[in-house]
Amino acid sequence: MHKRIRQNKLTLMIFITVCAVYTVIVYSGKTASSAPYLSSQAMEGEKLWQDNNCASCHQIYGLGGYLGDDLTNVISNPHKGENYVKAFLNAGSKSMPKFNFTEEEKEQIVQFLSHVDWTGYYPNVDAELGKDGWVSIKYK
Amino acid sequence: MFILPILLGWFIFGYNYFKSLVGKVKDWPVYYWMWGIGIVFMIFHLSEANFWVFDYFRKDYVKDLTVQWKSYGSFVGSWNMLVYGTAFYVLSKIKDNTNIARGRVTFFFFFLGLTNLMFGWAHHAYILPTLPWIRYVAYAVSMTEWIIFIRIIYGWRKSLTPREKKENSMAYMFIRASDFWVFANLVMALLMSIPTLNFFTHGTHVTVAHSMGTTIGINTCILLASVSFILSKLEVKHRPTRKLPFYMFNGSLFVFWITLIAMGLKKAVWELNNPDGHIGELHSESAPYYIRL
Repeated sequence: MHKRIRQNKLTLMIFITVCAVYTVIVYSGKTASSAPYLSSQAMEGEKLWQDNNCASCHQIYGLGGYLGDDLTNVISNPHKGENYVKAFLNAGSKSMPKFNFTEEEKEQIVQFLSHVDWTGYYPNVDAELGKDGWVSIKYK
Repeated sequence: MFILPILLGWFIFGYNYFKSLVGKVKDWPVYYWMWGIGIVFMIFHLSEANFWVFDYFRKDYVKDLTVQWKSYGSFVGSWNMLVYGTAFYVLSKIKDNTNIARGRVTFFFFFLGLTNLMFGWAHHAYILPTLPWIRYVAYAVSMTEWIIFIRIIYGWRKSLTPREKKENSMAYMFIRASDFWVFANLVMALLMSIPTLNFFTHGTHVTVAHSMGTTIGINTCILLASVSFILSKLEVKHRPTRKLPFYMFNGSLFVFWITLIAMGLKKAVWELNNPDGHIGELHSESAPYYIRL
């Protein structure tokens, strides 16, 4: 019995150690995105995004509410873009409230969304689907 | 800020838990391990979900998203440790035998679940521009869940004795229902962990059907099984015997679950065919569909 308990404790310690190393690597390692760090303007825009609960309706990389569009690549979309975003922000729509952002705040939100756009593609329509179930996504 | 009192609550809960058990109970059954691990990892991953407040994470947007999505996967895994531990506890008490919670096979599955808690989160982040090795690890770890899947099917062939079923009929029914929801959850997790399928289901209601639909079934059924077991030990007049609420709950949840899967598939098809469309068009198309289901 004592041997079994010791084995279980040892196994748990090994698991926790490997998990700690793995976590540190994830925290300190690079990503596959070539985007630079968020600028101070973009960080202000992200704060506006959080404070106004934009993610409760909109998605980024597919995560968020399902009421509004995914905005990962809204800025680089030739049919949408910066002016489209700014127009919607204070005009609203049938299901989107009218906000009362200043010009500076609208610019900050656009800066944030531009940065998000810079990091990658979603949906990643040019990804290659392998026969082994793997997906090679396209990076920016 | 609101996370601080929540974290404090978990710290106090953990302190009380370990103070009550460490040194006082020898040869812990697996559910004590599961509850202990669940509490410790819940505290860590709840904290991790808020690391975005630090500029080190926040400035690197993809890393920030990766760490947040990592934490979401892992704190659900931590919660599952607590819930599945409770299911094990109730089953042990129904059988009046804690030896089943101390066996080698039981601990093998505990450590397999722990592996998925620690390393399986990255199938949530397949679509993010993270380094490929993170996704390879996630794919490999997620596929170990097939072992749990096969074990569940094998376990269905075994059962409690007729006397144990009769004496704990409501608790037993809820445990059996939770078995179904665990099975449904696992089937979805396995399919969604295959990157090719994840590519289509990510960001759709299929994800919600997995993360919310089946989880409501698992958590609620295990909780009600625990309550039913406690009530079954009280005087006869307090025992829940009516089965209609049981069938109503599970039936309506099943319809909700199927609706989410259907809507998710519809959204996946719509997104592929309308890359520049407005999601309002999907909602307009779906309104009667929701009602029909």
